[in-house]
Amino acid sequence: MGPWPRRIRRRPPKPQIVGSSPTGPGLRVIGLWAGKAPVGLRLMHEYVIARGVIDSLLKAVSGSGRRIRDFRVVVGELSMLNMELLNEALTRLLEASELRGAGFRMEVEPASVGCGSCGFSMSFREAVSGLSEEEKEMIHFIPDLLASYTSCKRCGSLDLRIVSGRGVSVRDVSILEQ
Amino acid sequence: MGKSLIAATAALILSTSSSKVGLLDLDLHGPSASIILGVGGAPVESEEGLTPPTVDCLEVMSLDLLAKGRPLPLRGESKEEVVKEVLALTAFGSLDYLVVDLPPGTGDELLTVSKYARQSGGAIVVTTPTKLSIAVAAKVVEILASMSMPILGLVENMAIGQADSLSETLARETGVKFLGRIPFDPAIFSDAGRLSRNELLNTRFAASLRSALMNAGFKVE
Repeated sequence: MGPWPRRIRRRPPKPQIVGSSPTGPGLRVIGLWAGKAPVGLRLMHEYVIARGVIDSLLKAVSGSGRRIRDFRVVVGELSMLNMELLNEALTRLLEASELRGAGFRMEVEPASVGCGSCGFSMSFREAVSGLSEEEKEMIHFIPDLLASYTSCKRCGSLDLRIVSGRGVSVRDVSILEQ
Repeated sequence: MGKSLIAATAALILSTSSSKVGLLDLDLHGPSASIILGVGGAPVESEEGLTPPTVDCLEVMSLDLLAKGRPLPLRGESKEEVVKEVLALTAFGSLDYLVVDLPPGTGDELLTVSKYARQSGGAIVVTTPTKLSIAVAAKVVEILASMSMPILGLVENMAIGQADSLSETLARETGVKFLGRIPFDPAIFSDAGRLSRNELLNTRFAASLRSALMNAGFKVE
C-alpha cells in the first residue's frame, strides 16, 4: 500500500487513541504510525489500532442496551497499516469482546492533496511524483512536508494540504433491531 | 519577543548543568533553533523514529531540519497533525528536560502541545514590556490555565529597566510567578546565529536567563 519504500522504520507506536469524535454515522479513531518492525511487533501495532476501534465502538453503545450489527473501517493510505494484520487483529478482538457477532468490512481511503490557491485536487502519488527517494522518505514521516518539496501541478502554488488518506475511521455503524 | 532565543539558550544552559536535554522547535512557520545553535546535521532515521542531531550534548529537533530550509505553508488542521507527528516520531531518548519552542500567540501549536504535555510539563510565558505583547501574554496565560497546563512563570525579555513594569503587573493580576527580566541587548539580536554556543552562554542575556530558570525551580550551574 502506498508508494513508499518498505524499508522505512518508525518508532514502535504507543497504545493511545489520539482523539475520537463523532463523524456522521460513525466514529473517528486517529491511528498512529506504521513501521517495518518484526512481525510480532507489527501485529502489536495493528492490534493497538484494532483495540482502539473496538474501544470506540464499545464506548458508543455502552449503557444503551444496543448491539452492533456491522461497521466499516476506513484506513487512510498514509497510515501505512498492513490490512491483513489489521483484519486479523480486529477479528480476534471482536470475538473476545462484547461485540462478538458483529461484522465488519475494511477499505483503504486513497490519499489526496488539494491546492488552497486554485482548488486543484490530485492524488498523493501524483503530488510526490518526480521527487527523489530521500525527499519521499521525509514526506513519508510527515506527509504535510510535501508543501516544502512540491507544488500544485496546475498553478505552482505551495499552498497544499492533505485532503484525505489520514488515520483510521469507523463509519456506517448499524445497530441490531431489538 | 526573542522567545526562540530564550528557548534555545535555556536548553543550552540546562544541558551544561549535567542534565539530558532536548530542544524541540515547534515554531512551524519560523523555525530558528537550528540557525541560533548552528545545527548542521539532519535527523537520522532509526528503529525508534527520527533521531535528532546533537550539538554540545543538546539534542535539537526542528522542522527546518526536515524541510531543509524550504518554506512550509501549513493550514489549521495540518498544523495539529504535524505537531503530533513530530512529537511522536522524534526519538529523543531518555531526557531530564524537553524544551519546546512555540510560536507567538494562541494557535494550534500551543493548543496541541498543551493537550499532550499538561501532565508532565510546565510553561514559561515570554513577553516584552509593551502593551501589545502583554495583551497577547494575558491571553496565553488564560488559555493555558483553562487547559490545566501548569505555568512555571512569566519572563520579561528586552527589558528596559522599568520598575514595576506591565509584565510584573500581569504576573500579579494572574497569580503567575514573575521569574525576572532579561535586559535588552542589541548585540544579541543582531548577532543571533553568528555567536558560537559558548559565546552565547557567556552573554549578559544568558546570565539573566539563568537567574530566571533558577527562580522557576530548575537546577542550573
